[in-house]
Amino acid sequence: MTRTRPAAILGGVLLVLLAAALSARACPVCDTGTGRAVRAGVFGADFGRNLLVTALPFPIFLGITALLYYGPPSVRRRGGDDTERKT
Amino acid sequence: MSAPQANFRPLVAAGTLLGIGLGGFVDGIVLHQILQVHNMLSAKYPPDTLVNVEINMVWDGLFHAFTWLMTVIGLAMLWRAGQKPEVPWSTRTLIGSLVMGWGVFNLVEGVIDHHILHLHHVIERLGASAADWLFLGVGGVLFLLVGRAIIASGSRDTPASHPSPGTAPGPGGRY
Repeated sequence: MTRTRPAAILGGVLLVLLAAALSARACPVCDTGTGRAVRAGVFGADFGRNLLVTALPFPIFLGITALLYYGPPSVRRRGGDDTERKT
Repeated sequence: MSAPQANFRPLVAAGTLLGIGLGGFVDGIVLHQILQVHNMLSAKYPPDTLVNVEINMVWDGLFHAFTWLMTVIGLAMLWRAGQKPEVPWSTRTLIGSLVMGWGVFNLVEGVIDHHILHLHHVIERLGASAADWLFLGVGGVLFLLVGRAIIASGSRDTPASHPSPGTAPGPGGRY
């Protein structure tokens, strides 16, 4: 057990150093100068636009998937296409 | 008693959406996180300061959240496809759909984010470059065509291969 103690101490020291590092206190919910700057950058005037453009491809993906599932309107009117066949 | 009419659509749609989700994760994990050649909004917030890196991290996280949602919906669709006896349980169709979905992800994301909105570029320090077109051509169009070819190769699979309730597994426990 005593052989592992230096490693455990070193691990503890590293953990404290990491927790105290600048990046660890820069999170958007951290109450620090950097954290506040990150929050201001994320939830600034461009928030809505950034959210819209980040999300934009995803409704298109769902639309393509729906098209594959139900088929294009012309095929649906006909009632099937090459992906449906008699076996 | 007539044989059920094969319907590949639920499997193709599920596999494609799963491919879109998994392709999005490849993009996010490999290009955003491991190689760090770009981030979601790196053309707008160059990741050269800690604050900008953190801002990009938030938008990368949101991108991953949406990608995760696509994967979960794709998984649910695959589960439902597995319950339909008319859907051939075709490995080739699923693999082809996954590859096609990955291509769809690269094509749509590439056109919108890289070429129209310029939110980021494949290699951000180069700006708009040949890498964007390579991403679109190989990762998008080529993957889509290869996926479609694999799907076509499984078009002769029949609903008889479906593991519906009451269907006994084949040799080695395989359906």
